[in-house]
Amino acid sequence: MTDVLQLFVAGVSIGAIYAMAAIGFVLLWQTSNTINFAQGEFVVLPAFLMVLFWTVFRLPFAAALLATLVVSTLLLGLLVKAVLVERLLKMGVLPLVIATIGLSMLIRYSLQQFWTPLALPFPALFSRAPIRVGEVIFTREELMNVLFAALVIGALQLAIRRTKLGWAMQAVAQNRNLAAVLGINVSRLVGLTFMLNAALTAVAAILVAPVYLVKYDIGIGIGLKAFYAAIIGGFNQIRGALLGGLLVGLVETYSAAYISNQFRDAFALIMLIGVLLLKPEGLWGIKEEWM
Amino acid sequence: MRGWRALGLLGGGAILLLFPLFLEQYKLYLASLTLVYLILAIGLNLTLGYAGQISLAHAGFMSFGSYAVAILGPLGVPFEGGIIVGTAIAFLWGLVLGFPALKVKHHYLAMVTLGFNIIVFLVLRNWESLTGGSFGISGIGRPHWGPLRFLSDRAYYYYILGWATLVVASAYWILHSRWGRAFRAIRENEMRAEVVGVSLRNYKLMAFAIGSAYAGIGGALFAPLLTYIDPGAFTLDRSIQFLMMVVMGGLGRFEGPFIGAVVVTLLPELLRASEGFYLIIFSLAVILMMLFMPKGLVAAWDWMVCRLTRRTVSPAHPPPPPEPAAVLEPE
Amino acid sequence: MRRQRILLVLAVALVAVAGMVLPASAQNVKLAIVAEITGGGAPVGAMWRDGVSLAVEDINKKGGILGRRLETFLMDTQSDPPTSVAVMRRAINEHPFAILGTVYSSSTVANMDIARQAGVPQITGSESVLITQKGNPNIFLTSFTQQIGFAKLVRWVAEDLKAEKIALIYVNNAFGRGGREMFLKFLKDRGKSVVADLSTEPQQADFTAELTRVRASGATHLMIYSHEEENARLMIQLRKLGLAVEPVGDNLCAQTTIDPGGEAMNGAKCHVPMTAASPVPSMLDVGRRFQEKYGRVPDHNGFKAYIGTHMVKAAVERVGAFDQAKVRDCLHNNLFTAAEEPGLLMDVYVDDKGDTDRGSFIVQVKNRKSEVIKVVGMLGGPYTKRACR
Repeated sequence: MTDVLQLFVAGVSIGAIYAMAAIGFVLLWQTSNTINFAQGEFVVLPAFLMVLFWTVFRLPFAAALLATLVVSTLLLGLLVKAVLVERLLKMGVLPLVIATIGLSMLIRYSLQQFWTPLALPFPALFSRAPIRVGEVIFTREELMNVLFAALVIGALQLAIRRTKLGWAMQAVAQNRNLAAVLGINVSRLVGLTFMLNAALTAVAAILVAPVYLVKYDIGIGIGLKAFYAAIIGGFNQIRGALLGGLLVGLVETYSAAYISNQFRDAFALIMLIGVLLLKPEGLWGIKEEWM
Repeated sequence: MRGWRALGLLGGGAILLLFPLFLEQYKLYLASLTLVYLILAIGLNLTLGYAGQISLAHAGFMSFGSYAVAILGPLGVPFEGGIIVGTAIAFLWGLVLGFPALKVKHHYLAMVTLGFNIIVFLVLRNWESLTGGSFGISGIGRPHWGPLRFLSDRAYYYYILGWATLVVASAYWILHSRWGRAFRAIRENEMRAEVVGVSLRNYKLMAFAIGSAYAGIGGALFAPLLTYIDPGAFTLDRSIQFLMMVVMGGLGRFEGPFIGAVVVTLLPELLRASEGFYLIIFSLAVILMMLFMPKGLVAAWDWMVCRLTRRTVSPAHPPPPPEPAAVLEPE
Repeated sequence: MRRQRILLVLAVALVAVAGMVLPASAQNVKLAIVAEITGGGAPVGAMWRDGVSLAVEDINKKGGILGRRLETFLMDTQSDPPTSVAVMRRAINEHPFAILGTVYSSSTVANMDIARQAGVPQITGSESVLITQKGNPNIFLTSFTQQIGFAKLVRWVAEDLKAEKIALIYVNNAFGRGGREMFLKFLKDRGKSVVADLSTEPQQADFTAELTRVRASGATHLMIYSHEEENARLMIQLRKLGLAVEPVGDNLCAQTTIDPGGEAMNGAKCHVPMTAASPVPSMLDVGRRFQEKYGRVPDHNGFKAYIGTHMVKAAVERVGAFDQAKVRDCLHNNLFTAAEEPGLLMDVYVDDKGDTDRGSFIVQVKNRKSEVIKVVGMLGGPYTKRACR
């Protein structure tokens, strides 16, 4: 029983990280039909920036965090939107998919070539002193990961329901042509979504870095898991990302512990394929007309 | 005109046949690898370029061919037997995977195929008694027909060339038959295609399965070229490499895979002086191409052809009419 | 119109297949570095490349080999076996005297036949048993295979640590599985087995599932055999869960694991083939100069490359000529000593399969540095030197 609970803590904690990366997927898909294959690298780059500002330039933590947020929002938000998305959005899904694959390689190999191919340490933000509840051990770090993810996702969900910007996003997601007719500046909205995504991945980066350590290629794994999470939970609802992330984390952990280590990566995938075939809108998504 | 065309085919054939006689080992290998990639790219072009279905499982399908010849060879099965088995497995799995293609849109299909590729990799790695697991299989034999052995690199090049010719010819035939028109109709407009009486279900399934079968053939020829395979050769990364190849060449164009295969094998050579920067330059090139030449390098090809013809031929001959855009329609 | 199109096809085809052959310089001796410069193996390949470069610089400073200077050229395998085959052929075209690389076992297995056919001796950084099992007389390892490495490691774990209940966590690829098979085999030879045998994925982030199984197994020692950053993550989580096991390993104590792992790494003990913290003065010196020049502490791959280059030198000098066939023969069943060639850093014996036997070290991580706690002798021997002229 102790083990079951201990594994639950681990699964939820790693799932929270997947969920954080998955929200961005959902947002980008909703407003701009972009499947961002570079989402993993969108998490890695801010992690490196954070290392740069915090441990290389030795800025105080808050300043480093702010600088990371600003730079990644500009770079991964504004710049990517202006250079790539603006032009490719008109041409359908595939060119953007290819371009984001190219972008992911560009970020990954540039970090490797110009910075380091080795893993960098990242200081723990929250205490790793074990907190014991009965036999189960967890740390403040894990607790904060989960709280943060839940908080961010809850806030976003609320914002989309209650704010004007949220309404506009929903309108664009449902029918971009009609939204444009209704006077919504779609291009600006897409830009805002990209910036929001970049800010979210930057926050995710700070949570991810102490666990994953900072290495140029960790984005591949994070990106894939975020993908699974978004699809399983529901590609068109932010709350779906949370559910999906937690499910992927838990399935992974429990299957590795109780079924098979060797196939630990397969179980989440089987769940993914099952969801796609039986309930393509995701477990907690909303059915859309185009499906 | 027909005479010229025949001459061109003959000339091209002669180059492909005669040049290897003078090529050194290394270039011979590159030429062989290019032909193998060509076969694989033609398959993906059929699935994605003509029928508009993203497959990120091409390396997975390829592995069926590779492992079929690697496993059956030592059991005394003739090489062609291995190719047939591998291709059949790829074809059947293509059918199985084609079913979701009927149900879901292309970005979801990308996910299903992505998942399939990863699962194939895991099975190859973990089914040690059959596949040798992570250690792979080495000493993979090359084909022989009685006394005629394709052991040397040069002989094996010709063997691959034979299969490549077969694949190119069959693809040409498919695309110029009823099937090809149906595939294009599906890509352009599914609803209209159905209205005009194209049976969507069958054609979509077939486009996927035939593309996968070509991957099986390519995989079967790939294994003896290296003489060693392991599951690491069939990861998602390689599927993405094929996707890049086809998109860079030009989707939905017959010339596309030729250009893509040549570029992807020769580009590292041209960029060799750049040392570690190769992948950075490659990824930049991919992004720039999407931005400025989304129809692939085949557009540059058309432009060159157009320029050349305009300069030397009287203006009475217009340039060839542009073929339909290869880019998928936005939702 | 068609005519031009066809001519264009022909022209492009001609350009595609034609190429140029670089003229070989007669004076200098060429060594080809074939390594993982880009792609997933980049950390490994960079160490390997720099190790060879440093060795070549040192050798040239002392007048080269038999009075001829060395020059190197680099071929990038992109960490991809098919590409490694291609660039190996490319390297052979430039007529190098020897080939240094590759490090990834899957690449080496795929490309080593090409070097053999060309008769160019190949010094590899791979450690997989697969390579020596093929009976290729042209391939030489710079560090011992997992077969010899794990024989020494298991001897240490069983005899010095007196471990009875051992759990094993390994990464599920050719590297990890090769180590696992050897680990289990040598334990079995001693009538022992592991209490838990757990595989992990490359790039795995969370190890709680494996660690709870280790805890349930009642193990006192945990053998960890994965890649550097996975080792580091695993150690961090091991400390967090407060498992009462003693972590042991091989690359677990590499500086590239210790740096990201930080405090959690303290206390880990390993059997390592080479270390920058070695009590061997020449090894310390190379480690220091490597760090000055390339800005990082060399790991075993850096040392392996440095030593491998000097193995070529030692063999050529013993033969007395740049004769590839004779050098190949000389490198089999032969002992080379550090007294004779200081660049070897330690005495090394190469067996008939190209596998090496050499002294090694037991280290313990203290204050984020590995410290040598014991020097381990060669596994076999005593070996004798053989003349090659």
